[in-house]
Amino acid sequence: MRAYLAVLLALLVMGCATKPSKEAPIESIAGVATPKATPIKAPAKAAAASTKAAGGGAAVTQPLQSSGVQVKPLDAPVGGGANAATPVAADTAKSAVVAALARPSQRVFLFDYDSAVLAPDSHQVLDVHGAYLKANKKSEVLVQGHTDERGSREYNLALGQRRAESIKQALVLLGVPDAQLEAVSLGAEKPVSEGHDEADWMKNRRSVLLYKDE
Amino acid sequence: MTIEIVGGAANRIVLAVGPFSSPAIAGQDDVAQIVSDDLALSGQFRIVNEPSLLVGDKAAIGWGRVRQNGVDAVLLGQVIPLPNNTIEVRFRLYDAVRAIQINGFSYTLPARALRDAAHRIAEEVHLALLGAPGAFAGRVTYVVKQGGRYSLRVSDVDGHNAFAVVDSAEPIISPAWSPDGQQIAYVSFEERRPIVYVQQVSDGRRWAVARFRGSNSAPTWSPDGRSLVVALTRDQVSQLYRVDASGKEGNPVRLMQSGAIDTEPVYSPDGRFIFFTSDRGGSPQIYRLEVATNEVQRITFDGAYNTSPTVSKDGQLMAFVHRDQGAFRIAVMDLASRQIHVLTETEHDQSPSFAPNNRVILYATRSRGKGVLATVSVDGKIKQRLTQEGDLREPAWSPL
Repeated sequence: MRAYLAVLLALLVMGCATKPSKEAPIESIAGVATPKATPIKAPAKAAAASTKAAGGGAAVTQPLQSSGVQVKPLDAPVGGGANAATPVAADTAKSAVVAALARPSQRVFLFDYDSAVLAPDSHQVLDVHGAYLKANKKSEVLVQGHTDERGSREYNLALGQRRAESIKQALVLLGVPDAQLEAVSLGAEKPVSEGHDEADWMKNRRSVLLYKDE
Repeated sequence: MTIEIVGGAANRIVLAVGPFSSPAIAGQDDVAQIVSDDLALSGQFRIVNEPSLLVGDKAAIGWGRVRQNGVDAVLLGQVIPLPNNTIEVRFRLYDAVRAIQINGFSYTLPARALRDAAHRIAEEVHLALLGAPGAFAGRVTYVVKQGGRYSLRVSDVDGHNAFAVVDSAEPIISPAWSPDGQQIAYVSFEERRPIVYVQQVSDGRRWAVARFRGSNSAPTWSPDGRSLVVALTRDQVSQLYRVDASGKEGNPVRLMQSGAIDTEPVYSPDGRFIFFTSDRGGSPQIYRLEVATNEVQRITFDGAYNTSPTVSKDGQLMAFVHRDQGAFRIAVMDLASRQIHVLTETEHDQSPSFAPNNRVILYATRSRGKGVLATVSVDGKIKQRLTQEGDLREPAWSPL
């Protein structure tokens, strides 16, 4: 019997060790029943930010009032193991959870002319938006797609929708439920820059992420 | 609205117009002036003063002197006030060379319709002397952006009698007249996303015909006025669907599956085809769907950007926006030969719309930093610019 348990634990631990951090379900924070909870590696940037926000690691155990989320420490798996969540790993997990709960300030993503392809550096920020949205199931986001003023208004409306869908799809692929996301287009109708040269057009070719409760 | 003309026919008809009332009746539009302005702005006429012409449709004319002044035709007329706010307007059109009457009519109408009578007279003169209808009567719709607000307006072709159909803090685009000229479909962003409404012009009643998830836009009316085809992104990418014009609940009927952007549908006047913009070939081009067979044919091949199709009432010409080295210009295609001609030299042209006479195209462009409307004849020779306060865009010529 004990041998069986040991093998089972070893298998579980191996499984945990090799799982990529992105797939760890954060929603298992509240009352983890199974020892499947994997230490979540927070992106370095977000960890630094969270330290500021939370006033250092000590504040981790306090409820985060602004988002109304309770943080509970992750219990170490029963029996321990080579990669079990040691107290040190637990703190990393907690601060990673805190980090993931902050909404990134970058909300605007720019596009090339006539394109709805996301710039490579958008994905880092979208990852964090995605993590936040997965942790906060009640949080809803509206993605607005825009274009510059050139050409047909109706074609621009469709292109703006493509740009909004690009962002939405990126978040869906990160595991954010469709129900939390809405993509709309405002075409060329709501520019941020009213001028008529490339410097203005570039700023207008964008998708904007809006949290509906802000 | 100020209308200026640029260019004109090489050989313009010289027309002398006599006064229709003397002295001028206070508070009443000057019929002679309205007719003269209409005809002059068509680019086909040169209007001259002939001081010897008197009020009255039957006044005696000194033909010798008139011909000496190079006059080709003479228009005489009179406005006669009648009881109960009614007026009678009479005119006679004369061939100055042969010194004979070509035609003449009398109209009796409410005094408030005086401008309409004047436009009708201009139409009769144009038809009689050129053998083809003018573009003076009827109405246009357009959007004015001013002071951060948007207004959909309807006015006479010359900009008079303008009134607002919709007034909103959010954008309005893509107005489309119903075939009977009584309703306008349009796209409003008042709910912060595009939704298609149909509105009765006479009383302002309106209802949504497409309010599905995503964007709802680009309405075009079927020739029988019972349905519209719109562009919806309810299935993620912009595709074309038919909806009922009554706005009653019901699933929209999808026309095609393309996985690309399909938008800007427009019916041919006989209802056999729907022209539309699609980037299914990699860049925005104009295609034509045969309604009965669902076959799709690509129509434009010149250049990498052709959008915004619109078809003349006789089904022979298609006007569209063609990008030429970064400049967005109005072009026209003869649908039989598929030959295209680029008609404008400006850079930000949008929203072409044919006049019911199939010979003039109304569109939006930018001039001196603001949005203006403009017209161009299908041969490219006669152009007008229409300006007023505010930023003008999205014009559509009523089909009647």
